[in-house]
Amino acid sequence: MLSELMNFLRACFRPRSDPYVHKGSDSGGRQDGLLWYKDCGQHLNGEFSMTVVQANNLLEDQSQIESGSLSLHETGPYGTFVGIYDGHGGPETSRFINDHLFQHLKRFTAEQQSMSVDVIRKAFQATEDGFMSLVTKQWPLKPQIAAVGSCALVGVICSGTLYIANLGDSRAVLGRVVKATGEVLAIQLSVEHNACIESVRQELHSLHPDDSQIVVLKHNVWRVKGIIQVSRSIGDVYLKKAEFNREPLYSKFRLREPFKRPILNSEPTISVHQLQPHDQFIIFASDGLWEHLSNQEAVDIVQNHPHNGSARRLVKAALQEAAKKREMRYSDLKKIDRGVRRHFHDDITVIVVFLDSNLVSRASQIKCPNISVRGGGINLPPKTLAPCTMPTEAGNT
Amino acid sequence: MDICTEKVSLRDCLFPCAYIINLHSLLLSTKTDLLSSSASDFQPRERQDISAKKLITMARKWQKLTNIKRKRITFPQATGGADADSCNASLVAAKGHFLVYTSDQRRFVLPLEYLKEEIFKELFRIAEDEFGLPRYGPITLPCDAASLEYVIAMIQQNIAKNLEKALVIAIATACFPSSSYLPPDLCTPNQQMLICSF
Repeated sequence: MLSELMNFLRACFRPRSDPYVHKGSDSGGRQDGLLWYKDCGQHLNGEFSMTVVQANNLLEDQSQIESGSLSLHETGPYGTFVGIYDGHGGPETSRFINDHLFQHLKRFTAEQQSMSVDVIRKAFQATEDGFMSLVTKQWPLKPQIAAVGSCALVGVICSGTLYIANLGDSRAVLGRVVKATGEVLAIQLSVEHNACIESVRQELHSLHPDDSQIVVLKHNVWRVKGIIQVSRSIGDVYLKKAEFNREPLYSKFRLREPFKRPILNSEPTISVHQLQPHDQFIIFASDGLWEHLSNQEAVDIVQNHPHNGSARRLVKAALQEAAKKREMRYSDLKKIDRGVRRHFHDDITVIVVFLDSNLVSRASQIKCPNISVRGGGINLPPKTLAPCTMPTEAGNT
Repeated sequence: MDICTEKVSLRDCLFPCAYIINLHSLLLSTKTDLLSSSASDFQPRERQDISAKKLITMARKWQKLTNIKRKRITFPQATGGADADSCNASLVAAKGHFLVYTSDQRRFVLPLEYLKEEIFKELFRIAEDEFGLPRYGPITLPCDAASLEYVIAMIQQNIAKNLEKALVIAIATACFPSSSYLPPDLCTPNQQMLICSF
């Protein structure tokens, strides 16, 4: 009797379980070792599926899907926002973008009362400026923050229009049905800024005509100044302002000769697409996926299987490919701890956004509940970005 | 995404490594001929009795000998989970194993548990500095088969932890001379002296 009573009391007073680990499948995602997934959710224009697999000691990939009002005002416009932020050198920048970019976007949308390329561009710029201020503030105590950066890929669906903004080497790929054959074609929507692309190297040379070493081949990989593969990013202020390329930053990050103009920039390439009834889905993913799967392979996997769990299926296919390259079993690869796991594959984030043509064509003024889901990881210290999902019902809906 | 920083030369990494290997071989063979030591001679208790001065003397002697007859160094045989045989190995590692290549293209199939060992994590880090993260193929470690066999033997024999730490320090010091990289618990003065003595 006493033990039953104790159990009852314990149940009453037990604090809620760790808010960073969500086992339920309804509201949040599920965590299975280093894998986090939300197999199916609903956004304004259809369903979505989302998966993150961690390889770094601290998850450097961050991601979010926001659906509902894209403005600070409840009058809209309404739509869906997808963001994938692939950090490097640490998780600080990608977390910062996850916390601020969408807020800036909502602010500028409210100011201009509509969604536009200009709104997105300004949101990116405000995020870069915000991170720059943070680095300036933290520099004396934490100089290492100057050597942290992130790629950023954003997709906004609003009024039947798709905006894709990208800096760095994440990628968005559209799956479109070809009417005549019924095949689903992979159409890459994003422009990448990786020095392995010849046009990116040409751009670097034209921007830095006096520096023949602006991009060099290192370990058989093209790198800007022999350091970094991407030519554009948020953060990486040590390669943007010379005042941060000095002590007390670790010498291994410092360039030998001082530079006058920024080596990297933070200008996203933005494209606008009118969605068509034959557009089935868009795969947003960090380069961790694309180094193992081609655009068409990924599109075929999504097309040939149920919507539910499609992001997880893509990640599994990529990990199977990674295991094959390392000449080991997929089942064994999954057992490797974070940190050392980075030598077997990168952090991978995938969000598949399905497009329901009936919903896509709806006017952007139709109100709907706000949905907000963030890709998760494990062992994040408190006060950092919560990896859990936060479905919030807007008060006015 | 990864960031590539200042390159560390392979020689710099393995230079202290070679000394430690020599040192350990010494420890293994205090009673027997230096060049005919083997795993069966391994007597861990004796290690405690060797004075630092004696060690230095022996190390110098050993260094001279190895310079002359380097190829005759015998490493403890890798047995059990470690399979250094490339002839019969299938393309995919056996269940519960991962695979690495050494700089001399030898193929090692090793138990997954080795990935938890600090020494392996360090070797992987050096491999990343040396070769970058491999994009298309298997992992190659920046040491030859003999050195890796030694590391394997060290893990298998569960040698004293402080020697392993000393090896980690030696490698880390070579890779990151600023030493800001070193975990503080590894930086005890004695171990630093041990490294510096040779």
